Amino acid sequence: MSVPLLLLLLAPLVGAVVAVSFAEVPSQRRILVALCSAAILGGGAAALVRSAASEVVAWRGFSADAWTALLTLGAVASVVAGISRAGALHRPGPIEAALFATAAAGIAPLLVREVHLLAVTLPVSTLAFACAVVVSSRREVLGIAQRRALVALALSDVAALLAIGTAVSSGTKLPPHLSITAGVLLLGAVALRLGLVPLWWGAVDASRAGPVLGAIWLGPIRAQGLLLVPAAVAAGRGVAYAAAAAGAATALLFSVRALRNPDVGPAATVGVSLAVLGIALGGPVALWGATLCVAAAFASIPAWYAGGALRDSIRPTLGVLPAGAVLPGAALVVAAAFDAAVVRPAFLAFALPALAGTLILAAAVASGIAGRELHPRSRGNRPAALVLGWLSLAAATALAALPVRALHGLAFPVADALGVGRLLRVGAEPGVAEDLALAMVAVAVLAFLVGPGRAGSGGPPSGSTSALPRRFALLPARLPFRIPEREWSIAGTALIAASIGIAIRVYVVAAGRGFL
Amino acid sequence: MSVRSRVAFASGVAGAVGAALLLSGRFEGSVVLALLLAFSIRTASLAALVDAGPILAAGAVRGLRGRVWLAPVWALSAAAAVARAGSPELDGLRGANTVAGPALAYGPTITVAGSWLAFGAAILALITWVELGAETAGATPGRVEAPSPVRRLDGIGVLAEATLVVSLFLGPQVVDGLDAAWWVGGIIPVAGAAWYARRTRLPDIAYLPALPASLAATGLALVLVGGTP
Repeated sequence: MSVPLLLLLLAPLVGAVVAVSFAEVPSQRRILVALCSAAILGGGAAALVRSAASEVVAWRGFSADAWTALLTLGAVASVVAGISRAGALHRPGPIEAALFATAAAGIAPLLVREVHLLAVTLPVSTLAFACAVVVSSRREVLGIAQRRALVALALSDVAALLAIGTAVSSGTKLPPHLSITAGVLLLGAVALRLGLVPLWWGAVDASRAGPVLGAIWLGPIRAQGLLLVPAAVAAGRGVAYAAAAAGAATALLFSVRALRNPDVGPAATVGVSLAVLGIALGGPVALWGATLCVAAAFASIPAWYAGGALRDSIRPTLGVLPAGAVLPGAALVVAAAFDAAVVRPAFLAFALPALAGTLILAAAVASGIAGRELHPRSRGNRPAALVLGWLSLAAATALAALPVRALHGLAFPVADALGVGRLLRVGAEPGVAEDLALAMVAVAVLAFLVGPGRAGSGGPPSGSTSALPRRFALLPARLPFRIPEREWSIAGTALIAASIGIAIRVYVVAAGRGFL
Repeated sequence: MSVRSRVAFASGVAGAVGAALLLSGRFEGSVVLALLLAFSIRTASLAALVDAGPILAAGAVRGLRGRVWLAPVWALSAAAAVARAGSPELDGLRGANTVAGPALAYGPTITVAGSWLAFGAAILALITWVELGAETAGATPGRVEAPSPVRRLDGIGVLAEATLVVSLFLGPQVVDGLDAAWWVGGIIPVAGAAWYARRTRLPDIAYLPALPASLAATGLALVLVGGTP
């Protein structure tokens, strides 16, 4: 019996029941919800530590390796961040219950071992997302962004289930090399879930619809997409090239969006898209860079959603941490792409947009992503902001030292879990020398302490905030054509029904062939 | 300055130290890492002023916009140098400049031409400078200046970028005085040009990157066609 998996699977269900049962008694509900959230996070962290140490983490039909444990921890951290903000919404109890239920349904696909169970758990996760959409809606009818997000998720399910349906005849595992058709379908499903170019609209709509849906999409839904990436790119070299191109283009476009929007979502998308590029490339350098990018992208959500009275003051500083943490991983992925381009110049098509996106993200980390301190002159929060700023700066820069030190901790187990079949399989020693990272951290801390001016002595500039998004605008804010809300609902319902039908079909085929 | 400005300033200082140690050859590293660290210095000095008063903040926002638009130029120029040297490592670049000669002078003619174009694009990106401060009008005209540490950090950023440009296209492994002369003779004019250009009134930066980006892209294409020496 594995305690981490029990905590991961059962604590969300307990949390959902508790949140509804104690909806009318806020103080007790908050305590119990916090306990359940801590149990989920503890389970996720324990699963990651144990799987990285090559210990078996399994319970009945569920299991976790280093890669799925990393994704699971990121997913539950994002949902818990959403739960921490749900207390300020109009119906906190039901919304918290919906988030807990979505967490349970969302991490189940990450932990199942058989492909026919994946076919069942993906639609169940989508249904849970649909329930969360309804519960979190303030109005009687759903908004256009919510409907479009639901349609995107259902469409992704249909594509993934069609791909799985073609593979189920080979057994209960996803075969190491899917057919090209199945690989393309799976890549489409991945692009929708991860918000990759040109299918980014669902993820953007979910983030725009509200913090609850944003937390779910950036957590469990994104983790499911990352789970499917290795299988998709292993289908063939052409699919891997397409995934790498989508990742590089997304990194460039969303790095610009990270400057436009004072939000952490675009920066997280840059991290995830560079991770897709790294997984498509393969090799130790790119895979470790991808692992760092994924971890940082998931860490960005709870950092941005950090609740409590200190939020307004410390959020911008906290936002620097995860966004900055993307950069070491991004540097590794881009370096691997450049390494490949020396031999095959065609790889410059991936390396150049990825490098430009990384440089722009560096600018976004320092300015747009971190947003503006809402109360720069607030005296009460200043000591906490100073301490957290100091810690976040040290931690973000120290991440540069991780690749060498942690290579045997997480990178190798993750690389083993991801398997082979990508574009590159060799590479140089990854990471930055520890001495260099140590020198940078020491100097940064010193510079922070003796930096110019008194903290909080500056005032906000007038008029520059509203002009900034327009100046960095590359993408149209709205689609040139509009589809009415009712049509989006019909499309979403039809796609969910289709995904359930395909799931049943996959399950029946698996049972008929004696796999169950 | 706010806490966030201090964080931006400190990250710029850390980037300066990292870039200096990499570009000086004290530590091994890739061109990508050196470019990222060198690029972050001037970006951080601008970001440290986004929370300042309206005059400085307006200049900082304009400068950040320029950094964003010029990022592809840096990427293309670095790619041209990497393609010419046949190695993405800084050691490899310096080795190629030592063994085969500086990229701007030795190698196939097409490759040399491409290197010159990419070098010119990097110079244009380097000298595109939004000064941190502004003249103020009124009964008693004056000048709003950024804090001196931020201005020094900006200057260090220019120096780091100039060193990076020389590493990409000129600088060999330093063995004797002649090798050092390549570095000194490269860095001083490049940094001097950037310093001279800081008071130049440039047109709207939004339209400026088209020229260096075109130059760098053409240079990269020529280097790829010409091949390594």
